[in-house]
Amino acid sequence: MRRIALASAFILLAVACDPATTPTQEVAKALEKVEVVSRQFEYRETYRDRTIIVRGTIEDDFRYQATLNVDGVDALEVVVNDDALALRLIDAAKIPALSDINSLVGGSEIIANALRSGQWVLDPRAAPPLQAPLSEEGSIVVGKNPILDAVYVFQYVRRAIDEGRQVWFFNPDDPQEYRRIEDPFPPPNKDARVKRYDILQPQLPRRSQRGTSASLPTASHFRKVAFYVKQGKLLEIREKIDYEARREFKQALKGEGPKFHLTLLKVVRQGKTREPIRVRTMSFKIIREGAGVKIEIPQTNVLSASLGGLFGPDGLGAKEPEAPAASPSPTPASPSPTQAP
Amino acid sequence: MRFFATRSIFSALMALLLLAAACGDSGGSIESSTGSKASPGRLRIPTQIVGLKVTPEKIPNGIEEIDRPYIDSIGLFSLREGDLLRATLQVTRFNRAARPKSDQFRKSIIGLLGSSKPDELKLGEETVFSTAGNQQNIFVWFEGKGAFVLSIHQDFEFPRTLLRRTLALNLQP
Repeated sequence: MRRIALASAFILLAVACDPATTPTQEVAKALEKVEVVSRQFEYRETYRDRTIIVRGTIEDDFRYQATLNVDGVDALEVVVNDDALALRLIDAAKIPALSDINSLVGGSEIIANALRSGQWVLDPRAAPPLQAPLSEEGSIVVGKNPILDAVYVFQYVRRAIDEGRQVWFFNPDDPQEYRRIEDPFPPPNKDARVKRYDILQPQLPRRSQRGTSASLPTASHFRKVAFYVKQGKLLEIREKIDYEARREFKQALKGEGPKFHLTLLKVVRQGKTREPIRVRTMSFKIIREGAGVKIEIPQTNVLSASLGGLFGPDGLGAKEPEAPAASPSPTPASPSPTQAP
Repeated sequence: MRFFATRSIFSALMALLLLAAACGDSGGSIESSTGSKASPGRLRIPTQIVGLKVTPEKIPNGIEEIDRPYIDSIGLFSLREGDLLRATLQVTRFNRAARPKSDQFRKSIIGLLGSSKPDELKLGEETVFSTAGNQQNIFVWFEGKGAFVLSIHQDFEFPRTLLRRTLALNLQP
């Protein structure tokens, strides 16, 4: 009897000493572990009939390189090194926002020709901001600049966690939260000891909320996100945003559930939401992490010039630069501050 | 109690930040400080970083009067483009009572700086905390027994390069 009591005491002590972590905390740790090391990634977004892939390498928070691939064709490459941004167009036709390069570079023929010919253009002070800009609703708006969407992806999913109902440890035997037919993502590979965590969607706005801003849905109501984690490190993030797939809407279309949900679906289809909802599929994979990489600014065949707002969080070619000034000789590159003694 | 103690430290540091703009060139040696109470023992800093002239500044007298339970010494450098002050670098060496390696100690200090929630940045092997102040970007990092506060005016065009170059100096408070 005494031994049992002693053993119980040990068990209780062990439980007490093991700080319980919630799925939210486990995901946060998995993100942090990868975020602080250099890494290679692949970001993929399918939007309407277009597939965008961003492949990139991150040395640290100030230095990265990324290539944008649109429908299987490389279109753009950028290198960010501290304050400097180097950019080269590989296939401008794949980026509609850059169709009129001349006007985007303030009419500078030198810069436009350099970009059209695939030459690197280096702006020593055009590095994008470290923080993704927020909408009036406090969300990170995606779709304007896929490369920065990929760079800001951790910020994006952290907000998604905040906007979700909770982070849920994947359990296919949980009838309350899980229905296989509604799951757009693959189960975790248990043999490889991969764990999966999902962000659960918040409840839809209620009828009683009519007349308030809370009555309008946001992307969070239609977003499904899964994190795949192995040995505490993030492997992959998957996201699907699709309002047609929301369970309550499907039931309403079958004549089940409150009619209010049909009204709500109609509102969403009309785009009358609190913020634009981008129906999309996204995945973000860590290809390699912890490998020491160095991101260098291109050194040869570089035109040093102002890229103005050609590449920023507001989009590719979102605004015209102010008084662009190109150096007369395209090669070699003018020394950037990172090269100065 | 601890909160008030760290608050005192950074009352001193914030006072330095504010006073930095008013500082003139002292013309002192840049490689070795005097070892007075108000400056870290030895600090070798180049005379220029990213084109900015680096000058050690005298610590204003008022700072000495502020209770600084965890501070052994403080140093201040101005970084100027011509006469224009672009940045300041504060170097703080803590005394034995401080716990600069403790996350809690660090967070309590960083939390008192700037007006925004600090972001944790990874630059090479270094962890740097970034926040924003009055038209300034403020970067803080801890090294050994001390801390550095690099405050850069928002108009300066190469803040990340300046931070990177300063980190690369491997300064020891």
